[in-house]
Amino acid sequence: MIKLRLIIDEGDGAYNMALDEAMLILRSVNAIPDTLRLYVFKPSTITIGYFQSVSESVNEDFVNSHRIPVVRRPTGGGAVYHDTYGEITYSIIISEDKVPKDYVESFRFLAEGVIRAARILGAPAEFKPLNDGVIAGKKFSGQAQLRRLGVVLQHGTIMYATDIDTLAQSLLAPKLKLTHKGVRAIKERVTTISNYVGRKISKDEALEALIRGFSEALNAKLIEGSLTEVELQLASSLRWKYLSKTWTYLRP
Amino acid sequence: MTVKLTLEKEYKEPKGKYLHLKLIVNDRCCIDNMVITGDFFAYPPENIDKLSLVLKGSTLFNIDDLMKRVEGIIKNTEIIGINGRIFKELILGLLKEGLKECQRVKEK
Repeated sequence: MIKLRLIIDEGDGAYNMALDEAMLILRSVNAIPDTLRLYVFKPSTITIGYFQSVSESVNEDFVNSHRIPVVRRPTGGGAVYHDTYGEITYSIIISEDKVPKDYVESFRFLAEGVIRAARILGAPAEFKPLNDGVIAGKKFSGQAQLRRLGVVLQHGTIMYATDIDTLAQSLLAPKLKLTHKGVRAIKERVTTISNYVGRKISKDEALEALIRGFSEALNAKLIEGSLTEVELQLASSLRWKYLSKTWTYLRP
Repeated sequence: MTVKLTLEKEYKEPKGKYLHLKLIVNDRCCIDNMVITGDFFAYPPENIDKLSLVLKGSTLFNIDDLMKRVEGIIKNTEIIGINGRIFKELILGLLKEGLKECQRVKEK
């Protein structure tokens, strides 16, 4: 059984990305233990993958008029709408030797906590390679990953009650990608756990299911802890990067 | 006035990820920029930025040399979600297309 520090948190997009990067750096020098952080974006935020272009993946007119911030992640993958009232994000910062070497297998291994959480809540979720969690063929969870200095940082989402209309209006998907998925619009390929089970899942229920799901999936003892002063200080320094237009529009 | 040509290529790997290449070439057949975007993963990620930097400002007349440099970087990069060979071929194809197009413009 492995031990994982559990952090339950919330904050804006720049804080969340900065803290995850700070934790990856500090884990690499053994300054912090392996950690599972479960957090909410406050306010609701769009994050885009490291290689994505803002104009290709975000409906800028819509997000500007609705004051939804856009933040570039340090991890690859696609754009995500993090709804404060319907989505919880996880980040796992763990030593690379504790996860499968193969990237797809490591996505699956670390995403299993989310899959189990959805099942606990009553939805027949499964992992779909490369990096999706699906319920009845529709995506409710996406994972992204960065490996550096012997440490894996995996981000992932669980949409328990995301406002799908806002998601669909905020994000753009290339036609080529939608055609390959056999859908005409983003809205057709996503779902939430609440939608599937037919009742509104609360944040506390989703959080509880995630804690149980990760604990079972990783055979881990989760020990609730708090952030150290050095984590907060490093995150505070890195926060400026994630707030900067230069970083966000690295690929306009 | 400098004429700039923009050439683009999109690719979606079956059951994989999306890649969009945008090559901007000037009328002297020099690369102004190669923008590589998509929802794929790469390790180390900086190598993709390095790829764009290596191409930026280079002349397309030395396409073989350019490709060797591109290959050198891709060899040391693990691309997840897009087949590495296809990734390389798409870049090479776009560079060749860029050379052809700018020569055509020059001849006009």
